[in-house]
Amino acid sequence: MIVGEPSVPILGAAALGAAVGYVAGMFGIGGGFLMTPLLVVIFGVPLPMAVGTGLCQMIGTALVSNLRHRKLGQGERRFDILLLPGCLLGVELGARTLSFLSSAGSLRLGAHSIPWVALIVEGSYALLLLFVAWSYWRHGQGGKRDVLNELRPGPLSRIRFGPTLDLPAVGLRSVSALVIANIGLVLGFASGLLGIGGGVALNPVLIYGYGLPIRQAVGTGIVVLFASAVVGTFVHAARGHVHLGVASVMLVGGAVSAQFGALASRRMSGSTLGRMHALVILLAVAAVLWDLVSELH
Amino acid sequence: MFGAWYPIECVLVPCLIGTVMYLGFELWERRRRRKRPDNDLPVIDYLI
Repeated sequence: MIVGEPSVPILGAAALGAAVGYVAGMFGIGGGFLMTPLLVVIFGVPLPMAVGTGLCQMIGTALVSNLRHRKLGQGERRFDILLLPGCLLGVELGARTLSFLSSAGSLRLGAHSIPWVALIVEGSYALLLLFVAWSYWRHGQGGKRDVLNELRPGPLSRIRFGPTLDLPAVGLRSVSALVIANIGLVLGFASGLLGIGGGVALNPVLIYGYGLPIRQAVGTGIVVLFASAVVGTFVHAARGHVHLGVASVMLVGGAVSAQFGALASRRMSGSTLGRMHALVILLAVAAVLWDLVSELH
Repeated sequence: MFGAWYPIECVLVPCLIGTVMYLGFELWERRRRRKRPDNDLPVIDYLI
């Protein structure tokens, strides 16, 4: 059975959703950063469509996480409020940039040419993911810090630029509001351009930049991820860049397998999880680079 | 190819699926707690 246009087999979409959901459940991530490149590489979905479909699927996962974290009382809502305006603006900017790049033609490299949209979007994707993998790998090299529960203020929390505020829920004092607002702008732009929820980029910033314990970091920023997924989906759908059937099938498949991934993660130590997380991110980088090379013609 | 309502559909459908998923998780957890109250729940609260 085939879902919509472009044709994607329904079982294939469910299997991809299940595989990404398993990884997402294991590492506590949304999996948007895996979904977009795999849709392009495995099913040949055009890049703008893969970005919009990834964002659409993310609405469901972000909504569930948001409800759960609210119930568990994890996360710092003030951080979310500061991230939100920049993030929403960034999503629109990112979607406009993607549309512009889609119609910008190709770059000629001798006898070959490569579309600008593939070069810039997939190149940025690979660089961002390489940075995130490096962060997880470097900080997963042992160290005795209890990363799940212990707060150790990081370099970003010491910046006193512009107005400052306290973040009592995570125990940080006098944090720069301007820095957080700008992080929101960058995050939103990445979300609109690359189709990632931003969790993969925001978590290292919160854990290593601000020094938040993982339990608090994963509950922070989810309101923003949900809002950026909604705005991003709306903007991309208005341009016809969302495949609702594929997004729905992957969402259902991923929801079930995420439970098994979460169960599997209980048998692993924090440092093993961190390193495996880095390896999975590198796999996504390899998929992106593979597609980039295959775009050369 | 797609109508004026399509962007709204694309937002509402995953919201609906997400809500059903959340309610499903809640029911599953309650059943699990009733059966094995001493056992920790899986790390699903990390799902973002």
